[in-house]
Amino acid sequence: MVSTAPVAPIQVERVTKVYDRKVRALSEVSFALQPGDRTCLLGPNGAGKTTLIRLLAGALGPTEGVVRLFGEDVSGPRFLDAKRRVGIVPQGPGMYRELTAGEYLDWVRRIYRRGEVARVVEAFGLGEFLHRRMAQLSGGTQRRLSLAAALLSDPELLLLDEPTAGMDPLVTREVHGYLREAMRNRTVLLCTHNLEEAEALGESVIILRSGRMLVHERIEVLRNQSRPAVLLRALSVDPLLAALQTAGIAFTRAGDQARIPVDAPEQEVPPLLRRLLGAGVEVIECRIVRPTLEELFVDAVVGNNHGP
Amino acid sequence: MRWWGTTMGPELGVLLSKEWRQLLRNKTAVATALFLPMLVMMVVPAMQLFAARSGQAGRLPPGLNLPPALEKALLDPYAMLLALLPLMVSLGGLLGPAVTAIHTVLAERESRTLELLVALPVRMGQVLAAKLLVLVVLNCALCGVMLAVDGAVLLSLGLAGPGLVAALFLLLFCSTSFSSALALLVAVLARDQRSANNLNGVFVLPIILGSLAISVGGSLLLGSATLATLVLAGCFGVGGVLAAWVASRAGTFERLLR
Repeated sequence: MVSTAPVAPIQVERVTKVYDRKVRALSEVSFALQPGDRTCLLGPNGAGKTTLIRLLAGALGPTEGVVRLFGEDVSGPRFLDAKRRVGIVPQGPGMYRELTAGEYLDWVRRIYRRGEVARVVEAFGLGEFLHRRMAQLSGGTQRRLSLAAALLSDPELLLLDEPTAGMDPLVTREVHGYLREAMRNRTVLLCTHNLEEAEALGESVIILRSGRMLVHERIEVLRNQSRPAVLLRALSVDPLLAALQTAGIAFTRAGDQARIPVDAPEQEVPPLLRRLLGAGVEVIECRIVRPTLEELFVDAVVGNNHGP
Repeated sequence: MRWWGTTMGPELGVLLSKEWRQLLRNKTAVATALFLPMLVMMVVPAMQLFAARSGQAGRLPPGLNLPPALEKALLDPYAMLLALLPLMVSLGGLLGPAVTAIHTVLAERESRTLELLVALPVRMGQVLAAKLLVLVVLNCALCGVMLAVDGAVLLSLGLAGPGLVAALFLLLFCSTSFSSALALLVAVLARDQRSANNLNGVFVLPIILGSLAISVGGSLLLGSATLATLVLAGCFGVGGVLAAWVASRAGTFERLLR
């Protein structure tokens, strides 16, 4: 019986990458992305994110394990066929001094053997830059050109390696707008340092630290697994903190607020508020918060610091 | 065979068009490809021809004698011109494309445009093959014009037959291919452009001396400039294939991304 299950766009099985027999960049990393997954690859500097992207691009070979794109091994003879289904935005690429933006896009179209230059030129607002040399474009326009080149062939899988690194907030916002459009109905692996970006654009995360995969989970699931907290603010912070201490309630101070982890806010918060008001604390704000991706990330990375 | 199949894919033609466009817009590369070959393939032979026709060739300081085998150069004023011609054509092939070949590879790495290539469905072997072919075509075209002038002069003066001229064209192609492939190999292995140029210089000097020995020795000792030219072309041809094969094996994205 022939299986009709769609082939996973990305399969990484027990992949280890060691540079020069000394530097271990990745250790036994395994995961798979299914069609339509939008996953963010997170990790501190040196975690192995770029190594992983380069392995997926076929630029590096794994020391151990298997990397497959659409079922094709990166070292196999049909890997280029699989790579034609992928658009890659590299991290801060250089730009050719001798080629114009228009020539470059046309060249990329011929490499992929498909695509419509006019469509991406319009989508990314590149019309007025087509006759400019690539190296003469501004940083934001260069990034748009990289995105346009990656999307020219209408790829099924998009690999984005820190697409907004080094961009100012305005350009970052502009690029996020383009990314939201580009990521629709595609499988995406977005490698980023920017946790707000990951939260805004991704549905699940892979967290790497020191070459090991710590987490691969949907952001929503991670949130549900972690404890919510109640944020309290009073007219004066000192009486609030003193009252919490007297009551033996665990809290952390966050500026002029107290953050109290709770398991069931609906049950625990009303008696807590009654108690504080009874103690004469003038509470002026009470807010239930779910942990941000940044907090989940810090928990995962710092909480696993005892690892190798 | 698998290597040949994966390198000679349809992407090669597209990569060739990019390399060609880049090279022709790089005025420094074209000037480099023109200057040294013009010196060795036009100026030096012209001076030798002028010396031979004016009776200056073959005059040695009093008391200085050539070894018996080289005395032919004194008897025939055009003998040294013909003996050195294969060397000059070899130099035209060796000196022109080397610097440009190293620049085209290492500039991709140093200016981070290699990242753009990594993102595309192409193999590094195809990128190197495209660079090699463009360099060979450009240098052969530029030096071929110069050699055509040399050949026309030699034929019109009756100094050489069509066989020697044809052999010189073959030598130009082989020496250009060898030099380009060797420079690409050096560029793949070197850390930066300076060390690559230094390393290439270390390889090229003994090759020039070897070419001198075959060119002069073959022409004067064996009495056939055509034979010396064909031997040189054969050596460069074998060396070129070997250097291209090693460069294609060593030239991976992984090595260049380090």
